[in-house]
Amino acid sequence: MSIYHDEIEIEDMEYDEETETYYYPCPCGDKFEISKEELEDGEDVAKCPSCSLLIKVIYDPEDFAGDEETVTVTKSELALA
Amino acid sequence: MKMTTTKDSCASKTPTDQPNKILCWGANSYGQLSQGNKDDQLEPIPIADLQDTNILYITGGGGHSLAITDENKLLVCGSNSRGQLGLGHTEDVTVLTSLPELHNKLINQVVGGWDFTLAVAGQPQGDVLYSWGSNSFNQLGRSSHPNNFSPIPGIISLPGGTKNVKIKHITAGLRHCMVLTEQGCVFTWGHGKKGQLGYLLPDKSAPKSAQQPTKVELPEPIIKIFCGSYYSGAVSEQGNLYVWGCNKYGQLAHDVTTLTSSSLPIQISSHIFKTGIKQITSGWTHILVLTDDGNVYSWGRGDYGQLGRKINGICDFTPSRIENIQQIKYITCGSEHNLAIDSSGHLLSWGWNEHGICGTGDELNVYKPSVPNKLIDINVRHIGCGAGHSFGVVEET
Repeated sequence: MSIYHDEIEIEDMEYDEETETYYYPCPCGDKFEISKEELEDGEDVAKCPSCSLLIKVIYDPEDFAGDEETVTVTKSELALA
Repeated sequence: MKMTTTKDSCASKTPTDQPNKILCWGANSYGQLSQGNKDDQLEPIPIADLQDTNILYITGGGGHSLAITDENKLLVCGSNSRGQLGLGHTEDVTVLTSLPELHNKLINQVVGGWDFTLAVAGQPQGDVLYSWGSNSFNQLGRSSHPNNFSPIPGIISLPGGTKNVKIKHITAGLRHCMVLTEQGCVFTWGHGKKGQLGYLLPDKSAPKSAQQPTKVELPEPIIKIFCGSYYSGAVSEQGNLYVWGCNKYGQLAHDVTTLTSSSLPIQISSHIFKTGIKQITSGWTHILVLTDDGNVYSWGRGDYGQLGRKINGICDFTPSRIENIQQIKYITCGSEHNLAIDSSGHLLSWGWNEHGICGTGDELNVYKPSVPNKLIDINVRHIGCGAGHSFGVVEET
């Protein structure tokens, strides 16, 4: 049996811009959560702060690599300047 | 006075007019157990300080709780981050509190979605349907300002106007809603990506989400409806059963390897039930049917014991009888657990039990429906569930 309660696509999660975190309903009433930063690091397990259940987040890592690339480009441009 | 719900309510005033006692247990991360704190309760404990308030009906959404009194007043508590308590703010409330906005209305039905609420007020000229809480998926069935939530009740208009509309039943999934009118018509709105709204757009695709309540075309008049997380269903006057939406765990009674989802209603055989469907109710991914002969059938996801019977694997798409229970009068589902009352007034629980949701005093999943120790001598009149919390309306002893 899978260690995950469920596998959920990122577009089915709700994004909170203030906390920069994706949320999804947990059966206990609390919410599974995974931050944008964790996704950028390649993490794909969203945890519920109140219980033991975990969900696997299905997403395309390339969608979360954008920011880093921008930073790299900017840095190299700065180096050239 | 009109009874609280159409959900075959078995709650009533006691002959001595003693208020009912409310027991609660399970997850309490937001104060949904009305204990004035946020501590989980592994075993049933009473809600104190209700004074003369006599609660007849109590239910829950994801992390909030909703109760109706004998005077048809609505009480709310628990999670409120999206304004789902309707109190005009977004702070959690840890004690059942009356809702000033609807103070003069005779509330006769209430239901909680994940983070929103629907309620019906009876009026001489017709029932009025209210919604509040999250509107991220158009689940309020109306516009809201700010766009994605409303912390105060607002009225939903059904097609054809609100005059003389009698609402027989309201129900909600995680992010979608459904109403049944006395005429046997079904309307849905909210999130629709998984086909849970039961109709197609002109381009033959399922609506991603819809604000306007829209009629679901069914071949015959309907008398009962239910919603799971991302699916819906209806029972006709003739006893035929229709389902639509997500089939990830066999909720549509079809093999998960052959059917992912259905955006339009499909009829499933109800011959297995032997007698008529008295009640049908759903958790997030499993369904229970109570038949006229007092038996309970289950299908869908069952890996935490949700189905109350032995299965191979995570789910079972074939409706089958739960063999060790009989003479059941009423059933209700949380997200992944269930409660039932039998003819002698005993409460049975089974399914997922983290946070003590089944009330057994421990957190081991309950695979076989059984009476929690603390409730062995208690006469239970009514039951209700939020996602991970449970209520029993019991006789004051």
